[in-house]
Amino acid sequence: MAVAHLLNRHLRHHRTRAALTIAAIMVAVSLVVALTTSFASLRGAAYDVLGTMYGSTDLQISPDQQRGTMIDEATVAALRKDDRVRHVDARRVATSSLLDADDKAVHWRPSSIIGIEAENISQASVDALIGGQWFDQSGGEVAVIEEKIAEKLKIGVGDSLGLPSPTGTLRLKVVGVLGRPDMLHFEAPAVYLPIATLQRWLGEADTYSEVKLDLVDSADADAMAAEIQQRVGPGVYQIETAASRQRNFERNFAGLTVLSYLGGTLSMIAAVFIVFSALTMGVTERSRSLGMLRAIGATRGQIATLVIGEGVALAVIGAAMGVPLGVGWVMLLNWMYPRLFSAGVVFSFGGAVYGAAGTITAALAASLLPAWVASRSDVLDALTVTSRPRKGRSTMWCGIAGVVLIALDPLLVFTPGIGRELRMDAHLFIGLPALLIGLVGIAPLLVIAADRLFSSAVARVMKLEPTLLRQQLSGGLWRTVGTAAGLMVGLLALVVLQTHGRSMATGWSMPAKFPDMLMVAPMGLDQQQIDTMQTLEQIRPPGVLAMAMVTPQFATNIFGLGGMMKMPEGTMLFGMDTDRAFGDGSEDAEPMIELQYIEGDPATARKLLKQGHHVIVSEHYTRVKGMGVGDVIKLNTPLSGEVGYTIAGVVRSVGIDMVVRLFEMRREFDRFTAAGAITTLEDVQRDFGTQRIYLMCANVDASVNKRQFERRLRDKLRTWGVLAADARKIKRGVDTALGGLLDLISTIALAAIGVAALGVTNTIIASVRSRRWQMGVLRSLGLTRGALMRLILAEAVMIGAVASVLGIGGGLLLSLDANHLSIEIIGYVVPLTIPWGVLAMGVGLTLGVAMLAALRPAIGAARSDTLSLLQAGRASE
Amino acid sequence: MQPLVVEQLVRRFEQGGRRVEALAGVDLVVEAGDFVSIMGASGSGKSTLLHLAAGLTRPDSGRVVVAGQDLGAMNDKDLTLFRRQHIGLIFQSFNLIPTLTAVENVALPLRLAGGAAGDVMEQAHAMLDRLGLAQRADHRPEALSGGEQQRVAIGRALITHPTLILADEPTGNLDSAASVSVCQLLRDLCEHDGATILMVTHEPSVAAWAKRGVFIADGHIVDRFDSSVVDSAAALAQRYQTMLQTR
Repeated sequence: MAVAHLLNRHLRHHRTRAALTIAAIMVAVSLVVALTTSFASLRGAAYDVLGTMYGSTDLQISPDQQRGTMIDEATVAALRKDDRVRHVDARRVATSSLLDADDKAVHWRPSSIIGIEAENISQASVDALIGGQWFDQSGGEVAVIEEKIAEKLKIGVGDSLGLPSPTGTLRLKVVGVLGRPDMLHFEAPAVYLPIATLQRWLGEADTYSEVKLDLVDSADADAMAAEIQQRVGPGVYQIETAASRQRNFERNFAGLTVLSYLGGTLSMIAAVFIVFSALTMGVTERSRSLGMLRAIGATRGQIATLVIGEGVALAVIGAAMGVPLGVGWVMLLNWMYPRLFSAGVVFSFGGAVYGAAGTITAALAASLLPAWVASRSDVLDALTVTSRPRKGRSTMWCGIAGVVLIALDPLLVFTPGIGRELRMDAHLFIGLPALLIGLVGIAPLLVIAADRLFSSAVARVMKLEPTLLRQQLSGGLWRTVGTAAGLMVGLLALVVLQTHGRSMATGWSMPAKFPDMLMVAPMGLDQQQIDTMQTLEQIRPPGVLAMAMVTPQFATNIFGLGGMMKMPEGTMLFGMDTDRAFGDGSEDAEPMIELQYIEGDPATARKLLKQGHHVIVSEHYTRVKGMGVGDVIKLNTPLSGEVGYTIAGVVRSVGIDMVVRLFEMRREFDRFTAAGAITTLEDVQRDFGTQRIYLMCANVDASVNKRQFERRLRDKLRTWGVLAADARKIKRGVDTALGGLLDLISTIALAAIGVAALGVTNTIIASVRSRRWQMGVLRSLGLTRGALMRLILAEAVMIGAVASVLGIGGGLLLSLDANHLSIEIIGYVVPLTIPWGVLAMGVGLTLGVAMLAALRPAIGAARSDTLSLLQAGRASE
Repeated sequence: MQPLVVEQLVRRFEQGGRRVEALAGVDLVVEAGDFVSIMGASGSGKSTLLHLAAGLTRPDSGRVVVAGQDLGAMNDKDLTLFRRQHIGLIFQSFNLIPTLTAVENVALPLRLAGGAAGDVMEQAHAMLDRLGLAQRADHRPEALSGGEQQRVAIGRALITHPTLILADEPTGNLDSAASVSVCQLLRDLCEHDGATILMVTHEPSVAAWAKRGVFIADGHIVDRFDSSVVDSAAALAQRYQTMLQTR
């Protein structure tokens, strides 16, 4: 009872501090709730979209992506007659670039061309129309387009657009425009047309690429899937039940769910350090009161309860306010972007519990050390009129423990002989927390070092007497440590995201010799058309290199990030004319791609590839799988079953895999993989049945303006829908896009720095409060108001400096660990690219935020009159 | 039962790398209802003796027995609870909790012991009334004068009706008028309420309020006096000066 009373009075007495700490917790919890609720809302919207897309589909049949055998009319007819089937929705889906009303090629991403039967147009699709109407026949040159296409091509109902293809342009009259959920922003925009029209244009009558079945209630979807699979033979069709689709969907969302929780966790960690800092301040300031309480009979337990109770009370209040605030953020987003939140705001109960309970638990943990210190404090020390500064050993031991903990993660990451999954788990669950705790452990030594090393420099810069800054930070050692640690969290996250992220995303480089132009044919080209391509002007010998790509085990989904987070298992197999690509060994042959061999040599590899069933692999295989020249990779192929491909050479990643993956080829490469392998075109055609070529590359004459060449090529091949672009320009575009994405993710780190700023304000207020008498003396001795303000701001700068050293140091170490883990896990060697500019900006931001947070208390102290400062000393504890 | 018995008390400290013997075998008995002052120069060991008597620190050797209980035989928790019940502490710098009002400060020991809020506050108000501070009950320490703060601190020390009151330089931070008021209060408590008080001071004028006293120097009790046989505070001061000069 007495403890509760004391706690209540203490919080009321230190209203500002309590309010700032509560605000930090509130913002942190609100970020967790906002991120998880936003995600839950988007997930709800995604389910809505999927509901519209799949309706009551119980079974979906599609051709196997490798074999590409379409579903024939007989199969569909049989399904229509099946008693278990209530409804059949058979579609044909293709991909194409578009021609505008003037028959000009539109330089844009390829669109999905979806052929449907008029009777299968659902009510939801009718409701989604924002203009015109759906076609009511299964033939005719009409189309319903998505609004993105309407905007891009500047067309509407009554206008027309063209679909280019090697067999001629199909011109369609637009009869309707569909609204498009923002959720599908990253998906290819779609053109809907009568299925017979599409089949005719493709030259493949009575073929389907997607059949959706609605079954009667008594039907067993799994049994029926197995039955169809058995009838047509293995590997011909992919058959997905509603349950398996749901499982895939949830699996792909799992990664994003974790991300949404992790994002908020950063701010929570920063807030917890602020709680630690606030409690430490309270214990230090109240040392006399606590000592007196012990003297008059308060037990150690009561003292500890007082401190822990303060931490928990602050966290409970902050969390209680943070949850509704977080929901408020999302409601604001919903109001701003209603189309993105088509399912409304879906409250994430799990996120709220995690945010609230996590923060309270963490605050409880953060209060243990201050509580222990408070309960163990020497009654006599606390009651001594002039408190004796405690020096020494505990700081040193903390530092030693900190160094040991920091060293743990590199040890776990770099020590050879640990399995990659165990290594990853050890890094995440042992190394990473140990690193964070270790950084806090060395913080006291850094604070003392900052006092000794930086104070003179800061004093000079801020035109202050250096002796005034001496022991500025170490006078309140642990509160400074807590505040610096809070600021550190955001900066550390920023450093890791930017350093590791940029290294992974943009650090890869193309080989010195790499084709100038990459060309993509969304509809695919046959051999005759490839031969025609060889006749293009201004292309240098040896001409156009056609590449067939297959990805054994690949899976497609519209939310690919989930898949990207998993460890790669698939293999990206390129089939190409290897003589043309790498040279035939003759002196006058100019290779288009220069491979850097790690194992094997070009001549032997060339010879082996010609024998068939040999591959040149990227270093992923040696690093991750421990395979080398002579080892056999077993691949599941649709036509030849399991086939062994012997490794003929190991080369550094050629970069083409990354370019291809990001050059609008996501349909084929949803899964992130660095496990690239090269074989001959013949092998891929034989084992995978690949007939059409989607990707080509070529070198152009040195004098050619690549931009003009792109345009000429597009115009010339527009009826084939071929897109062309400068390979290096694509890489630059990819770098920019990924950099932008990283910057977006980095805002989470900036939010954590913002939360920590509240802790800085707290610390500076406490510092000012404890030194008011001293400040009064200084003012009475002639220190100007401006100098007093600078003195206070200097403390904030030094806290920022300590946080910067911890954040940059810890962040770079973590980036190094992450880089090594990446090499081991995906086998993709990327030199660590340190974005010094961004790091400098991060440090500047940290120092700036620290100074800004200190401005108000600094101005307040500077404005106080000298007498009140002097008198304040009497009342302070 | 004697409220305080100190036997052959020895306490050593490390100070500036050298070992200092603050108390070198002190014996002292304080009878019930006694008011004893301990006088000595700075560093003589008088405050150390008081801290040992309060169980705030432990001796290197010797015994401290309060109300028949050997403090050395108690663990930290038992000692804390014992102190709560049997010992009242008064400090030079008052040490009131700045966030609590006067009455809440007085009530604090009882509330720490789990006393019901209503009863406790009633007792605390009565105590303040007795100390002449009824009108100041709801003021915080910062709004009280030094003398008032020390009276509140005395009220806090008395509220549990302790066996022994230990006062460490209770007038050290007060002006002369407030000092007299506090000394008078302590004497009254002793004479009218039977309180047992051990007070540390280096002021002969304050020590003269006690019934008897001891001089302490270099960790030893070097002289004892009875106020009833000392003519005046001035005479006591003279005796004190002589003692200091001979040491």
